[in-house]
Amino acid sequence: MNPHDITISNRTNSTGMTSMTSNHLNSKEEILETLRGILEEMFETDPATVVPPALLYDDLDIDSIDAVDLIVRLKDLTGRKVSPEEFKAVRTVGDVVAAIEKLLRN
Amino acid sequence: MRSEQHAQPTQKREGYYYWRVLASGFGFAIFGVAGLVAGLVGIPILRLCIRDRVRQQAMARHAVQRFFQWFIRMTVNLGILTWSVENPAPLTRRGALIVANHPSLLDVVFLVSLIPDACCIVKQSLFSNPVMRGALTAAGYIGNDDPMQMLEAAASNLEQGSPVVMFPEGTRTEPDQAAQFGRGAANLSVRAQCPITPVFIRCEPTTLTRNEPWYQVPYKPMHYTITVGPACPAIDAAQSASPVSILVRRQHARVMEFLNRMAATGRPSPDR
Repeated sequence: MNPHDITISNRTNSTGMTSMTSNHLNSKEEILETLRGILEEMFETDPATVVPPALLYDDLDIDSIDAVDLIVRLKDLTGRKVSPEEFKAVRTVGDVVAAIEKLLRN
Repeated sequence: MRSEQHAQPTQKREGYYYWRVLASGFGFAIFGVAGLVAGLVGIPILRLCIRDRVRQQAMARHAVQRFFQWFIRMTVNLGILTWSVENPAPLTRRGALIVANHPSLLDVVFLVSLIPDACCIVKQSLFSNPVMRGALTAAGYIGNDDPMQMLEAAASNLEQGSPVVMFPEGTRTEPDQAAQFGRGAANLSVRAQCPITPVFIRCEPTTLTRNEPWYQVPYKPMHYTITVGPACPAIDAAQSASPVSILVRRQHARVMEFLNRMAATGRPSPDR
């Protein structure tokens, strides 16, 4: 790897811990549960704090660069292309769940 | 230190107080005029004389450094402040990633005066400030609105050997408020595999903080102490099983450990 390459690498999917396929994500609850696993694995976020009204930045300490990493992760999860624009309005855990649900439906 | 800050309003004014009010106003005026002259006259002339963008940028950065050095000498000569720097050598290393706290308006002036060819990450809104815009653009400084673009631009500066200066507090800190440090620098360190040189800036008595008018000069001339801490080596992402986002948090914690220790004890490392 070029030492100065900026790579948004995502080695978490190889661990298989939360690499659920989209068939397991049928309800909001299942999506939320999967998201809890992902956030713990990527950002060491306490799963108990991952509730729909929680704000990503203020409550969970997930900043804009983390959000970009998260989008890459969600792309792997859903198998769909996720555009950062769709995530511009995302503020809370509930917003993320809704966004994943929408991705899976389309 | 905290108690001293609270005591400030009742402290007896010393060191030619009203002279310093006048001199501070003069300093602000010089800064504004210099920015305008640079933007309206200096930069256009530079663009005409030197076509090569890389050389343009090098000249602009050199000019900014020289102006800041002169500006600090002037504030010292006017009796506004005194300053000292501990362990400045790492600042001049090619491709250093320098991360500092941000207690006052002059922090960037001090650091850039000490660092040749420095590239600063600055608040995006400064690019729409007519006084600053010209110089910032010519010097190739980087705005912070899009974090990924910022990381890429900063990484390319590091690769070319230019030191990058960041203030992860983003905005000047209120003296009594805990700083909110962003992880942009830690991200850059892990993703570009570059060590962080942490710097702690102390200004006593506190001044030029946010929401303080220019004529509110401290009761006595201020003293700046700039302490360059031990480098935080880059964490090799390829050698670790943890995701980059976790390594970034680990690197961020190291920088914060230094800054918090300096704020609490004034000592750069636990064994000194």
